[in-house]
Amino acid sequence: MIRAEGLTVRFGGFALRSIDLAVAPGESFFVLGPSGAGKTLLLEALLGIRRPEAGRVLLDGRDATDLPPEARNVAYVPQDLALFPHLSVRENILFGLRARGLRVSGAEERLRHWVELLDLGRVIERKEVRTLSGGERQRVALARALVAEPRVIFLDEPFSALDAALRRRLQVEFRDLQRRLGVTVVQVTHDPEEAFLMADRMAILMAGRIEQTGRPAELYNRPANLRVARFLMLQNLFPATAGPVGEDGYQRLRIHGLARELLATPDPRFPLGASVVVGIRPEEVILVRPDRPPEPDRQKNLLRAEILEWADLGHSRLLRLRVEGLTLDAWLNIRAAREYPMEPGRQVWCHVRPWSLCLLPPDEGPGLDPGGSQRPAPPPTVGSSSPKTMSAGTKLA
Amino acid sequence: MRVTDRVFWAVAGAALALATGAVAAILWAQAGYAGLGATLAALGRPGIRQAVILSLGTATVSALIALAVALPTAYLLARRPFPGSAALDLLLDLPVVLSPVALGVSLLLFFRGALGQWVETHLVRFVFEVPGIVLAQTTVATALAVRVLKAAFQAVDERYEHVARFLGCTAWGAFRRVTLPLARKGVLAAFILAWARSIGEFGATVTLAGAVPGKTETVPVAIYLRLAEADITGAVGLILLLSILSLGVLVGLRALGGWR
Repeated sequence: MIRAEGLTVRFGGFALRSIDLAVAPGESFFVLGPSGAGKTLLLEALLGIRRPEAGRVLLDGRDATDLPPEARNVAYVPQDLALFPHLSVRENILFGLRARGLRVSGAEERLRHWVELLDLGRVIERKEVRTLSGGERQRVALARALVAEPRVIFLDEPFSALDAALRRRLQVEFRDLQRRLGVTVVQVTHDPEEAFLMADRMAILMAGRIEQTGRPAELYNRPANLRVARFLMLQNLFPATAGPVGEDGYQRLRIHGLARELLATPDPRFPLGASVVVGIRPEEVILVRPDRPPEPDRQKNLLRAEILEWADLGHSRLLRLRVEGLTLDAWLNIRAAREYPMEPGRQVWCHVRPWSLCLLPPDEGPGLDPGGSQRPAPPPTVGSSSPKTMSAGTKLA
Repeated sequence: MRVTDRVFWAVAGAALALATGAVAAILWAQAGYAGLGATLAALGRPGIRQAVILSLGTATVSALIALAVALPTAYLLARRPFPGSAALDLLLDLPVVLSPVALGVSLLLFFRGALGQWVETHLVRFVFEVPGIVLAQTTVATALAVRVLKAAFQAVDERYEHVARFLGCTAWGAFRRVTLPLARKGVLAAFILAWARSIGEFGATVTLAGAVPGKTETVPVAIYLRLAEADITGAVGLILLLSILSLGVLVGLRALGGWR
């Protein structure tokens, strides 16, 4: 459906380098990356707004480089939505049909269809788009894009301006709509949750390069490198040396600063003696209940830990633990967290399942410190009577 | 309210009073000198009605021509900067900063040249003719209109055009359906400015088109001629007349644009 081959785009001092990607028909494809990664520039290059310095964009197998926008039959929803302020809601939605000169009778029929589908009945007669709420603006922009039945719809962070609850609802709504209609979507976002929720496949874009492409589960479980791992909130990263694969089928890992070996699902990329970085997702760290002795299966990567500090985020608790010479961050479901007596300095048992460990190649470039999360915890504010001693959102989040 | 804020608003109010007060004082002085009677008398003089019609006609034609030239020019400069466009942009400001007399002399010299002579003999006669008035007015008005329109187009986010293009508009269609309507206040402002500058234009007009009574005599030229004859009352009557006419047109145009 849409394909980029060696796309290189320069804008100001920034460059997208040699981007390759392919989006299948009916697919919801996401470009996920931090602010300043070049997401909007990539979207604009795919759209044809920016001319590439090298490479090309193919639409349905045909080189689209010299195709004018109006001949591409794709829709574009920019970040600010760009609803036409001088037109009414109805005129905004019908804009694409009018511009293409469709007769009004057919247009009215299609308008009714989309108004019903996107639940716009209450606002369709509004004269001023300024009076619409955030969610309504969103839906009007989608209706305007979809009414012309484009083969691909490109969306640039369309949900970023909405408050959290509405954003989540609309994300789910739009994902369902997209799957029901089989529309091909290319969407960029900086929000991993949005991408995990809505994408069939996604590409991680960082500093103008695609670091990894795959299905959400693949990226979650097997980030290609440390940059992707860090961006996807894999914050417990420890340099280690790969050990042998034992008779139990698990590979031994010797983490620097940890006396006991950890077991992991074997990874052929890291033979005996190879340098490796072990990633442990905070949500994969399990605290063993003090009144319940660990089951034999859970004894594998059982670790003695000391509680350093914690902070509650409403639905979950961020916990910082010391395991021998390492600092380990853990996320606990708040209900589960309440069952633990928590005070700084308390000794607990925790464990990590062998398949929860993620093995990553050590960084090659400078400036990316593989032991990033292994630095000692911030100055201990622990010990006061308040449990909320951690500055959540700075280092932990 | 904080003291600094109070001072800030007081200074702003004083500036407003100064600006409007100056204009009011000028009008008052004239009204006091000549009164409404003189204005009506001025209207009654032979040739004056013709001068008024000539002024209104040429200013309107000049403003329309200025807009027709400035709209595409400003759009191109705002949306598609090219190597050297900044220099061209600067060049377009020259008629505005040049003294009108200097501009008139320059135009006159152009029509003394080979190309100018050819235009004079084969296309339109400008020197000491009505088209000369329009040319003198248009030269300055266009430069002003480009300035205003370029800013107006730049204020319209280009994303509107991108979205319109992907919804099926050609470049012209996106301009007509989206950019132009969104820049309409700027277009109106450009027209007002072009018209206002044209109706008051004197220096370039009198140099290029001359002051031929009954032929190239606009209202400003008529005022000059009255002064040259030491007919102060007549001049003041004409000034009042010009003021009333201009205010009337400006009020009408603003009403058209919704008073903002």
